[in-house]
Amino acid sequence: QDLLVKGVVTGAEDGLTIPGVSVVVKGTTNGTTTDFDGKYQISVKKDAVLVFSYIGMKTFEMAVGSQTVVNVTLKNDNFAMDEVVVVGYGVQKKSDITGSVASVSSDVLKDQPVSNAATLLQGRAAGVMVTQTSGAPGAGLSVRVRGTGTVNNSSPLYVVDGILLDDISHLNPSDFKSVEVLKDASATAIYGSRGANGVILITSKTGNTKDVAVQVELMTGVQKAWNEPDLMNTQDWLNTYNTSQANAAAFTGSTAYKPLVLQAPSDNTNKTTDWFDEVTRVGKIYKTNVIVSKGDSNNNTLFSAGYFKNEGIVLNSAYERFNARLNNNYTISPKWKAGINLSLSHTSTDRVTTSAISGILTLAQRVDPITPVRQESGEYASTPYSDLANPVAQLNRDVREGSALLVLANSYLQFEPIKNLFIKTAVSLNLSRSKSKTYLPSYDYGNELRVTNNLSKQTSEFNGYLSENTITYNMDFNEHSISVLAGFTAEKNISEYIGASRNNIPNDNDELQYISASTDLESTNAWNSGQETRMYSYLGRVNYNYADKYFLTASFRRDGSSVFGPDKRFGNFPSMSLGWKLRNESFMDFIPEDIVNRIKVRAGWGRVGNAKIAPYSFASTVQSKDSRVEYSYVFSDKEQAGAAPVKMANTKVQWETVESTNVGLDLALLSDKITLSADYFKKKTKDMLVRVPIPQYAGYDGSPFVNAGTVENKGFEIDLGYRGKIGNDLKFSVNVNASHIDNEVTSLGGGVPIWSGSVSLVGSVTRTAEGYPIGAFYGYQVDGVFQTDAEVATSAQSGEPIGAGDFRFKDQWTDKNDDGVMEAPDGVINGDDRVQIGDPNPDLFYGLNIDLNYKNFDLSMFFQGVSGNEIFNGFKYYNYADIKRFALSNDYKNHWTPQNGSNSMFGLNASTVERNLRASDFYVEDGSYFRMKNIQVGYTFKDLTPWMSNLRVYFSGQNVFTITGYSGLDPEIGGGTLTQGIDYGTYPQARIFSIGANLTF
Amino acid sequence: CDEEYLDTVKIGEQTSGSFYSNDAELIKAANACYAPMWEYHYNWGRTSFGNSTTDDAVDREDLKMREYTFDATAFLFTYNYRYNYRGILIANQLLANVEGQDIPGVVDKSLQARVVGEAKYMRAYYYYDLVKNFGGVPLITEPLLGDDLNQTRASAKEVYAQIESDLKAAVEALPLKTVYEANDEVGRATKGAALGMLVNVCVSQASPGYSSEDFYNEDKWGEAKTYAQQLFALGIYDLYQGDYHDLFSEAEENNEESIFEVQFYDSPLDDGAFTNNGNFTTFLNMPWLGAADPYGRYQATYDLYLAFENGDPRRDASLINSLQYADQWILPGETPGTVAEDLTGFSNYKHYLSKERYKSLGNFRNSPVNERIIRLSDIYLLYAEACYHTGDEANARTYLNLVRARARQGNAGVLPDVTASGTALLDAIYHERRVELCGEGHRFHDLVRTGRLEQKLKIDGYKVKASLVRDGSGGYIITDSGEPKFFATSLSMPKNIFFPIPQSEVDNTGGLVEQNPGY
Repeated sequence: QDLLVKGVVTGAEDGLTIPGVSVVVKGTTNGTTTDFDGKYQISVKKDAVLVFSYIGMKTFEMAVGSQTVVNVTLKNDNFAMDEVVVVGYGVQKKSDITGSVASVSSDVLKDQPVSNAATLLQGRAAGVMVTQTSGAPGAGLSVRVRGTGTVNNSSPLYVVDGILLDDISHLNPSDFKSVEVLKDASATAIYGSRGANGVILITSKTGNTKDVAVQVELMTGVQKAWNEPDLMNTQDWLNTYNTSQANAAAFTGSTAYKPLVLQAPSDNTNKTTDWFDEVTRVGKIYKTNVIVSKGDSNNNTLFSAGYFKNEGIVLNSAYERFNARLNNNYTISPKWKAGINLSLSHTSTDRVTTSAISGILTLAQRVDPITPVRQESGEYASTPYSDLANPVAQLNRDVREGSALLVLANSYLQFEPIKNLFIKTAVSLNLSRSKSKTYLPSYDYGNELRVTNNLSKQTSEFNGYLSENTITYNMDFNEHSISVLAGFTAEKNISEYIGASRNNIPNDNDELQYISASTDLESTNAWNSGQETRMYSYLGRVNYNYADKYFLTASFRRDGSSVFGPDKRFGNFPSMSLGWKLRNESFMDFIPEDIVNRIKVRAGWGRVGNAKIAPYSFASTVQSKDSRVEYSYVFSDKEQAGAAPVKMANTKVQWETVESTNVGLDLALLSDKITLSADYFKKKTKDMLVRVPIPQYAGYDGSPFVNAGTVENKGFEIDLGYRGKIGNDLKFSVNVNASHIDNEVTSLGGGVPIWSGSVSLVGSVTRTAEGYPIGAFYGYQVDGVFQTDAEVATSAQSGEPIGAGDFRFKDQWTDKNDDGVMEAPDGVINGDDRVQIGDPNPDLFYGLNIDLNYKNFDLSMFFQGVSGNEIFNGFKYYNYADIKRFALSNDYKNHWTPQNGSNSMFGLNASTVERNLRASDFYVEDGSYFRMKNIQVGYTFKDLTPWMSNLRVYFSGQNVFTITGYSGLDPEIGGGTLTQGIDYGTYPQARIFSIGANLTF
Repeated sequence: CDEEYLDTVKIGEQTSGSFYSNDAELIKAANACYAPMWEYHYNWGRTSFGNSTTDDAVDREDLKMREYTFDATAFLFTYNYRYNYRGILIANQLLANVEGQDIPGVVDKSLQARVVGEAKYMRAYYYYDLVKNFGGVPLITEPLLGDDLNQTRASAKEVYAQIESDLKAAVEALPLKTVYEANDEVGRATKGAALGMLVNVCVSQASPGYSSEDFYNEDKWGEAKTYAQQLFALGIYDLYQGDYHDLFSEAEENNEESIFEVQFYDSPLDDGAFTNNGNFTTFLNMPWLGAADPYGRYQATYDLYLAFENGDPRRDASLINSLQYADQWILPGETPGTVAEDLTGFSNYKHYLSKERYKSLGNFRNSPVNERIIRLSDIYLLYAEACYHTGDEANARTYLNLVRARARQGNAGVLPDVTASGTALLDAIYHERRVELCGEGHRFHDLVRTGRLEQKLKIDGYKVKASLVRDGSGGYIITDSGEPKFFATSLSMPKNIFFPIPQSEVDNTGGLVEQNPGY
């Protein structure tokens, strides 16, 4: 006779109910799972034994006897360590992992006003450095796993439910269940030629409650730039300019230097325009998500819909996104399973020009303060003193819109012909369709005009197809446990761009912003290009474990890629790693289990590749233009097309390989109250693809890639957690992670140093050379200020037309003849006197997370920072060049005068100022910062109404405070591989305050 | 999986393997040889290096060129060097793939010969620019493949030899300008242009200012004469007899006096010089009225104004004073503004657009006016110089006086025929070159090759600025402003015979391409 047994499953640690616990009658397949409130009911035979199991909890067995209510409390099982984590083409128990893998719960991002899921890794995972490249809406992130491994693309590979992506910004973070970062080569080698920069695996949520569960998230917030530039008002600006001109006139005896002749409309010296203020505003953020789910481990379904909108801190900038997801898994029969994950995203962006120096916020920091926003007539004003445009006018006038539809679909079929043998085939589609429109109306502001309007439209489509076929076999005998994986994958990616532009659209109305609305056929320009790449791969992996003490993982992948020359298509990527659970050895029993409950050591080696380079560089293409000139020409006043092969072909190019070794230690003390994970790694990039700048006499446009360089990254990471309780109600946890990485270019393959990081009017400021970090800042050292003209005359700069008040640059010891012996300063300041003046790589980057729970209140604080890095404040040029008629920094008021004798800031002299502004350590500043990235206070109402089980309301603050000595707008500066840490006038991060509610039904 | 799966190709772009295969592609390949001359920095460099380094002009934004305090990092040097070599690569690619090849798809074999001639002409053009600016440079005559990027500088003598050899071949291969006129293809390299270049190239090698250089060869005076005579014998060039100012107008492009020009036009697709087709030099040379357009970066000096003989009509045709400009550059109903940041009182009037034309273009950078490179009067004066140096003073005076006769426009009261001889005759030729060719980018090279750079700029010095007032009846009174003469005290010889090799090239080659002495 069957008995209907009911009960609630709760956690021993926090007393909260646990949904999704598997409840099975021992020895049968009869089972169920707990619903969202942790409740279950099941029909059993009398005296049956129920087995309760849940990831991360100790499995608990309970004889029912004749009870009809069985409430169970589950204890944590080695907290966080026996979660199952995704490792690429499979899953593994976290405690069994031998490589270096960090796991981040998606909960950490849950209620933050951020749009990009990759943000959640910032400060959360040791060894992973995330930097926001800009505070602009929808702006990108720079993500580096274990340092910058190459001068090329150093971004990691993202794998979302099996689909390989370069960017995840369009996905909804609320859909994510877990995020794993595979850091070392032994873990990433299964991804072969794409594993070099680390792999970030993302798994989306599935339904796991018996009854339909509905969760709703609502959030709204306001934002403002956390920092503003400190620029001179009109009076000070004019005085500075005129003084500099007067000093130059006196210094040179030339009448070419004169005070500014004021011109309308920029002639009211009593008014100051705060351009930064004019182009920024209080922005708003909205977020809504609804998730509906139901299911168990056999059949489940989840549907989610999300909306996110960020009205940015810059006028008329916005990012909007809709997301929808459907995740279904079915058990067709005991041997067959199938499933589908489908994700749709639609994004639309009102863009502002963000590119470095012409970006709108940088423009707003450069326009002189005397020019008003508008003329008296109401029309926009334009400065007569420089060629800078009115940024407010540009924001209100130009239309720059983009939108994209992205579809990710992954379906699989799995067959289990005999127990523990799984044959799985999966097909994925990665589709995107995007379009953009730029409409530039004509206008006339007096000093600035555009006679002819122009409309430009572009659409692009991308189709990615991926087929993955794997066989997995798991086997246990005696104390041996073996799991074998073999697979074959093939993929094809096709993209196409098409666009057109035309002038003379009849008027500025939206409805006419179509190419055909203009009849100016002659002005039509059209373009269309595409790319197709293919790859296929064989992969295999063996996991072996003896007696839950000794672990071995070995993997292998062979990739074949179409983007390299016929002789260079294939690469082999092996790896091996070992683990030893010392705690499980009987000789360790002298340490009591409740003091040290886990000790594991790990070691691994692997070889992986980086294939993120421009494809088909082995072919020399016929170009119709280069970056500066089209190769057409005019004959008899008619343009004729022209073309030439001006790109250098390189048949020898192949992917870069990275070899890395890793040793690690995992410890847990006091029954998991304290957890510690530490890793030391060494990562060597061989065959780094270097665009070795070839001599210009070769005439080629750009430089070809050569597999020439080697880079070494070595460092350590530490992750320390503590969780505890004060009294019965106050629970807390603290987690700190910190990483240190040394980056050094060990060889450029005989190539000469790579100059990069071009700062407008200053020149290249980074030099990547053997023995130095990638992208080290390079330039002159300022050695004080000349106090008298006589000092100049007896200095190494006596040949320069400079005088008292100008920088003295240091005449360095140099090795002129490359014999390894330094020669004494030569009494001349020239290119040889440039030295490394800074390193953009931090000594340490870290995150600190504190969570507190008191009854129904929760508080979490998240801090993040870097220290020991330098920033090249390239933007400084524009606010100190008093001859350019740009805005000037208030700090410039501390300039040298004969009276104050400053040794740190050059004096005012328009004829010499640019000599002071050459690349030097004048621009280099300490870039360390400590930032409160997020603080959140919440309160949860339980069982508020019969129809709503939970309601949490919260307040959240983002970028609440920042401690830094950096003088620019924001010390968080991303950048490209060779331009890291150069501030081109970075957008400050937004400070966001938001409120929200999470409802569970 | 079959490896054939990986046999995809680059799509949407032609690769070099299938290029140079038919008539149309040969024409495209030849067209590309000219395009680097369009690059706006490249074109800008002519004004900057040729004029504002001298007593003819000043650069409002960058005084370093005038003061001779420039260094190897100045970006115009980089662009000049880069685009000369880009042009050389394009020509080398064409020559390597076309010259002497049997290409089945090419129907018109005479076209094949012509494009080879065009490529050789343009290669010589770019090398001549390089050797004048930098001296000896790496001599590249085939596309480099990657394992041969260890070149050093060839001697200037070797570069000149290559230039001459290319030009001689071009003289043979290229048609006359009249052929192109018949086919609406004016602008291509011609037999006449190749001969005109040869005259220049020979004169450079024979000029006394280069007497310490390896390529110096007085015998080249004789060769220069021969090439000039061959050019005259073509019978298709003549001095333009209309208004001298019109010689530089849009209407008189490629006229009977013109031997070679950089072609510009008002493209409906591009709105400026930054991508293509606009003559940036117009924008740079027209004075500034305070707005962003035009730019007024370069201004002519008072010294140049004074250099003209009284009554020489070319003075008002070549220079415009700032008051006159303000009066003239307005549309009906507008009131004249003032020239802002007026450093000298004068602007180059050879680079000029009316305000109506400017408004119709929408953008000064889109100036459709061609840049004159070789004019017949230039060749006449070089010929006169060569005659002088070879003892034929009579012919020297004849050709000098042809230029003066055209300039006087029938007014017998001005510009009398030169009757001098000896060094006075040579000075008269030098003087004529300065006023006839002012503002066209010749002055610096003329001063260097004749060995007068230091004398004129550093020892004699020059007046920069005039004082201007309206005389009340539509005229202008131009007097000395009283400002002291300018002396280029940082100029030093022989360092300043050449400009510095771009620092980036020295850096990128690890010093294998050596810097010029003194930089």
